[in-house]
Amino acid sequence: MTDDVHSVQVPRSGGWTTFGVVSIAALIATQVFAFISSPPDVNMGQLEKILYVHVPAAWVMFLCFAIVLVYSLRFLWKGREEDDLLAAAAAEVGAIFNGLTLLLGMIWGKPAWGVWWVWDARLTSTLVLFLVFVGYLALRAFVEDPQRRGQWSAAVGILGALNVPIVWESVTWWRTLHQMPSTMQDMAKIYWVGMFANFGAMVLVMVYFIRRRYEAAAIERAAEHAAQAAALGGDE
Amino acid sequence: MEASNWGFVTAAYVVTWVLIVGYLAYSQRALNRARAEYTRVTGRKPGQGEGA
Repeated sequence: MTDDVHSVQVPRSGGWTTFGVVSIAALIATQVFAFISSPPDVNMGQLEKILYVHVPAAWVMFLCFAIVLVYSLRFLWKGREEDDLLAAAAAEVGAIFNGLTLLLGMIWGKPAWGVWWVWDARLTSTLVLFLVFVGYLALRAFVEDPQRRGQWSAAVGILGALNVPIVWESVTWWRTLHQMPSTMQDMAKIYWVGMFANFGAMVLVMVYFIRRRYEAAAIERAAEHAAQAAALGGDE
Repeated sequence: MEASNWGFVTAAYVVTWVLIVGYLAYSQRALNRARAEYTRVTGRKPGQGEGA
């Protein structure tokens, strides 16, 4: 086992619990605000309220996979295990928001389209993205060697992140059932305010999740290093 | 369609919060487990002194 280039630094956790509480409180507040402030849409009725969670969840998912791309490239470039752990944390959180996006889309699709699921370009490409990152996480669980795990998962992470522009553009490249992206011009301001407020709060929750998952992974790796060092009779 | 929409809206928010709270609990458990393991191996709490 080629156990790594250097030891993993244990991150300090000071202040993150408070950050988490503030993030969750912000998400509750923005959801209540959006619920109260937005009137039913002319076409969708109360269904528009689902968009305050569906759209921000999708944007946060894209953001997570952008983080995976950046830190996977950085890991391949510099070989620092912290970058691999951070990419993995972002991939897991991204997969959670990806799953949430799909579920919320289905819940919205049933009353709006009459079906829970259709093999539409946007839905299918989002499902493919989800499966790629589930595969990424499965891969990490099966490869023990940290360097190889980091390199293989960086390759899958980069390929997965490259799928993001396809998901984004799918509604313009293939005209199927999912609507085109809305613009500031075709949506009332109050809906945009609710959507961006929820996006902001969801980004805070995302940051908290990534940080906590990274922290747990870094502490785990540091404990493994210490155990190996102790077994070899060296210092921790 | 209007009257029945509230069920879908409620379902969407319930799914959102079940996922968020569930993942929050999962993350916290994983973090507590990692901290306990680190303390067991090193005799220190994580973040105290140098990294391993």
